[in-house]
Amino acid sequence: MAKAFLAIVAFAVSTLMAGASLAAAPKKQPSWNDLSTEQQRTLSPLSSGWDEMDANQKKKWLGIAKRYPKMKPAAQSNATKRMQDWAALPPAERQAARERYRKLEKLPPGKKQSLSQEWEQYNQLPESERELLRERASKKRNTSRAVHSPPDSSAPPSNTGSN
Amino acid sequence: MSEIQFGYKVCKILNRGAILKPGVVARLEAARELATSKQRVAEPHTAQLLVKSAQGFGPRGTPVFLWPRLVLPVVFIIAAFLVIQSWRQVKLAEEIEEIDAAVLTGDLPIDAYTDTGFDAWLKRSLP
Repeated sequence: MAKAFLAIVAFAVSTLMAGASLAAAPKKQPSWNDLSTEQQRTLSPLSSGWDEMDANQKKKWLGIAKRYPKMKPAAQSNATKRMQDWAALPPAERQAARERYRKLEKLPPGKKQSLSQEWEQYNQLPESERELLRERASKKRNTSRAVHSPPDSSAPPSNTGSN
Repeated sequence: MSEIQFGYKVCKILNRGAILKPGVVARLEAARELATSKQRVAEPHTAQLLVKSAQGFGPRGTPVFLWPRLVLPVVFIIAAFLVIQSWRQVKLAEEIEEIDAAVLTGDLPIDAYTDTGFDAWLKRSLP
C-alpha cells in the first residue's frame, strides 16, 4: 500500500519536474531558412547573424517580430534601423541599457516627455564635456561599487544570459 | 457455535473438575503444552511488530512508514522550487522582450541608454 502510494507520488513528482525543466529550457528555435517570409522580412537586419544566435535570443526576436505588425509606422522604422546595433551590443552593455530604460521609465510623465529634448541638449555639448560627464559617471560608479560591495544593482543578473 | 465459544465451554467444564479418562487428560495436557509453546513464540513477534509499526518501521526493519513522511515534503519542496524557477525564467524572458521592443521602437536612440555621460547629464538636469 505504502509502496504503491510512493510509486504514484514519485511518478507525479517526476512528471512535474520534467515539465518544469522542459518549460525552463529553451526549445530549439528555427534557423533563418525555416522562418516565414513575414518573419524574414521583419528581421532582415539580423539575417547574417541569425543562425549563430542562441535559442533565447531567437525566441526574443521572434516575439518582437510578432509585435511588429501592430506597431505604428514610425516605431516599425525605428525598430528596423536599430535591430542590428542592439543585437551587436555586448550582453553586459545591453543589460546595463535595459537597467537604464527601467530607471527612466520610473520618471514622472512630464520629465519622461522631456527626455528627447535632454538628449538633444546633451548632444549639443562639446565632445570634451560629454567625455567629462562619462568619466564622472564612471568614477561615481566605481566609488558606489566600493562602498556598496558586494555587487551593486547595475550588475547584470546571471540568469539573463545573452538575451 | 464458534471456536472461541467452544473453547470457553471446554474451559468451564474442566474448571468444574470434570472426571476424565487418563488418555483424555494426557491429550489435553499435550494440547495445552503445544498451545502455550506456540503462544510464547507468537507473542514477542506480535509485540515487536506493534512497536516497530508505532515507530514507523516495517516488518523487515526498513522505514517504510517513515519514508513518505520525510521524503515527500522534500520532493514536493524541490518540485515547487523548480516550477517557481521556470515560471520566473519565463517571466524574465517576457520582460526582456518587452523592454527590448520598447528600446527599439521608442523616441530615444539606443545610444541614450548606453551612454553613461547622458546618465550623468540627466542626473544634473533632472534632480
